[in-house]
Amino acid sequence: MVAAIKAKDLKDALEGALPQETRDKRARKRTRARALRGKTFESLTPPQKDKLLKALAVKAGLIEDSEDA
Amino acid sequence: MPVTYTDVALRRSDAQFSLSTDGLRLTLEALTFQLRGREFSLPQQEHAVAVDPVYGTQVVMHLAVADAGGSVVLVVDEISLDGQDGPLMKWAGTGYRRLWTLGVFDVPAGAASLDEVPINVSRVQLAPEPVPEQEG
Repeated sequence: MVAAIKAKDLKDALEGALPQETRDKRARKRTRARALRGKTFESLTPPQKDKLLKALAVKAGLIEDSEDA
Repeated sequence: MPVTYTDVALRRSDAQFSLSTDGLRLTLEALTFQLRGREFSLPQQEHAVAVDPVYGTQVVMHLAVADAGGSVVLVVDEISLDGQDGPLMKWAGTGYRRLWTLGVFDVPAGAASLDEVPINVSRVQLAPEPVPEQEG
């Protein structure tokens, strides 16, 4: 019997082939997203609110993404 | 394990398989199919599904062919439903080429078994089940 291949291993291999800067950027975004998970806007700290609003504005195309983190 | 089949008209393939589960372990057996005039055979494959204990997990089963050697493999993508995880979208560079998505199902958070999980599969035929011998 053969074990099926986990897509996560393929994703990790693809991620590993990326430049370190790109991997760091994605890791920061994941960390930030996990930190916000399950929270209401009111419960965020002022820096978190600021970053969230900035990210939303970038996504909406209102401002340019000047800082990737 | 209720299994739902779709697209049995088999536009691209003529595949037969049998899928069984035991707890969170699934086994795919005896899959043979033709694709673009070529016959493929998939050895029996097994996989233990890892379930996100808080958010549940979407499991996507792909059939793929290895760039090196051309053997067929089952690639199982387990996507946490936490809103942060995502599916395997880019196959270039993985060493495998996706043939088609064989099936998909959602496992509830904390599930210990796939017995009650509806599994949707597509473009395949169910292998005929053995007919029990009748006495007399």
